[in-house]
Amino acid sequence: MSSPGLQGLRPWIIQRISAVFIAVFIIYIFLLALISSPFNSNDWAAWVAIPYNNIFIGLFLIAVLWHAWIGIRDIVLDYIPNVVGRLLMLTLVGSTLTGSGLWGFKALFMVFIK
Amino acid sequence: MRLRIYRYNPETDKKPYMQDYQLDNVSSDMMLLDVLLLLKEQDSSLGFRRSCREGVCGSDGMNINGTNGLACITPVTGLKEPVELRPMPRLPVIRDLIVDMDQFYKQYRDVKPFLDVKDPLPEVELKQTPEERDKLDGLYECILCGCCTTSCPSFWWNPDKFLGPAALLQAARFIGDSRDQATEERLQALDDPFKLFRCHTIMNCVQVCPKGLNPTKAIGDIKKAMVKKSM
Repeated sequence: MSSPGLQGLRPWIIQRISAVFIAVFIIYIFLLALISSPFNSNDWAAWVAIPYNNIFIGLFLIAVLWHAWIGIRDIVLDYIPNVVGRLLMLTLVGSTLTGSGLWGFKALFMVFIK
Repeated sequence: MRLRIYRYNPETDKKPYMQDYQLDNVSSDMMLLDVLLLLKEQDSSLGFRRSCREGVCGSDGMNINGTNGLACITPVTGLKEPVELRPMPRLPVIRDLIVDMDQFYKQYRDVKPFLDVKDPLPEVELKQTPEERDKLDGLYECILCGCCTTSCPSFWWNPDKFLGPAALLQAARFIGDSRDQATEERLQALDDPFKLFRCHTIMNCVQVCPKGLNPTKAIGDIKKAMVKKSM
């Protein structure tokens, strides 16, 4: 490998698998909202509190974070030629995505506390 | 016929410039290379490469009205005037339309474009079935003109790291060859974020290839082979 820490095939496969999962999940949520309408915020909270749904939303969140990380990583590798610039941008993106992920998981967990 | 040609002689010019030309004795059955040869009689300082003049050697690759192509097989009819000629993008210019192809050839060497056979070589030739041979069609015909690689935005962004469509087409040609015994090493060498995976299926390479080849499909086939190997 010419670039330690960065891989080729694995991210490429993860990006595709996560894309399929995200697409299927969004269609499922959209159809659910369509069938179950009117669907207010309490209904959503109750729906999210069902453990099965909660787990799938968690998986959806992981898929979105992975997909976003690989996509932005690709853009950074394409457009930022400077190694220090790349490192800084990837650190910034990684931190933002990690923070967003933690915030998302906190929200998923809070449903049970309420 | 009116032409605008990129001119740059690093020994005498501070920076590149576009020079306008007018040629009157151009007939409709001419190829662009014929026009350039006429022009060369008018201005002997104009620099461009050419050799076979029939789309086989790949010497006269250039950017013609914004699209890479070979001057020798580009008919003048249908070309919008003034015909704007520039060197192939993203390679250092040696002079006028002549580019330094070192980087391009380095990428070609990087994919080891030769059969790697571990077994003792037979006294006769290494045989293939007709079906195995058919798999090489669309891969071996590349003339290394550089039109595809220099039209690829991924190459413009990472010219020293992304191998480019021409070299990857050659990689696919040897990965797909039933006689080659280094498939695993070849795939392993390409499993890197830059060499292969900078290709975003933009397909400029397919659009400009003067031999009608499809490097994008070849790159896709390499990715499929990698997935198959990893499973």
